[in-house]
Amino acid sequence: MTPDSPFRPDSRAAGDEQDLRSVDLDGHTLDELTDYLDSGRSPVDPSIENSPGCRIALAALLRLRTAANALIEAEAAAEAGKDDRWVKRILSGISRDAHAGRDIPVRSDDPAATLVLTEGAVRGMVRAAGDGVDGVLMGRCRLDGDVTEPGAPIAVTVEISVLFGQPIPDTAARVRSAVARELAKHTELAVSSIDVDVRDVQFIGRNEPA
Amino acid sequence: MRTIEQNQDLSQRLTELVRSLPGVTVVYPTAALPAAVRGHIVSTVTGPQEGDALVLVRLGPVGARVSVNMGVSAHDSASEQCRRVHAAVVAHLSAEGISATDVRVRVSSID
Repeated sequence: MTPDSPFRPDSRAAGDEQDLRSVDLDGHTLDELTDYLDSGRSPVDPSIENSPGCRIALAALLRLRTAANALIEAEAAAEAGKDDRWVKRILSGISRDAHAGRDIPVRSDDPAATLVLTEGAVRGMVRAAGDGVDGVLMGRCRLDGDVTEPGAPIAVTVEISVLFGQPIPDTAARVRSAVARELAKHTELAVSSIDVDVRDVQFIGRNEPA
Repeated sequence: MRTIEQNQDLSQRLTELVRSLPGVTVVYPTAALPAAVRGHIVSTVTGPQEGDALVLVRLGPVGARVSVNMGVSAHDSASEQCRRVHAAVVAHLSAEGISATDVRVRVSSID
């Protein structure tokens, strides 16, 4: 990833500046995490590797890097660089979603037990589920409702970018299905709805319209 | 009342236990990060000490308070893995003749 890459966080970007500065990544910025990935995570930085938020963000950045490589291979990076607001939106989502957030309880029969998943862990898992759908890059993920209260209805909203050529209703349905499946597998949340917000359609290289 | 060294020994054993459990991908420091990072740096300089004692243990007159912060694999249910780690910690304490007064297990990442 080069310094001019559209996939490098740019805190100067209008509208995203506050988002990228206000992250809770245990004192690290996305730019630092990108440099750390560039170094092959060597030498090991304990302040990054010991931070759940940093590790969640690193995983998301790696998936985004895969998309970046696909762009470069398609010789479309320069074109994408003309309007890379969608990348900044994704980066902003990564930074905002990675922080620990609220504690989501896990049932236990032992009264001496307190078992929780962090909201950041769940958002990271949701992001991975969406990124796993072909032609999709996840933006933000929100869990609306009192996740700290067992049984409280939770509305999930995810923002996605879709590559041109993917049928949008079908793609949104696949994202919704993947997110629902993973939430049911990993959490005990009472999910009342999953809204998929298609924020933009990306025209990349060979998939550009004629 | 046990000593700080005994607390640390038990913490190291519990850290090793949690790390060895299927599905656990990482054990995070439970203490505030700066202190935890200092502990890691100390451990790399002087051998396996604080850096290998990531599970927080406080031993009192009636039992142990334990806090685990970890990442788990996405291949299995994070909630189930959380319960399994709790059960393993309680079983380990019981085997050492220690009652568990408070066991906190937090999943901070799902890899």
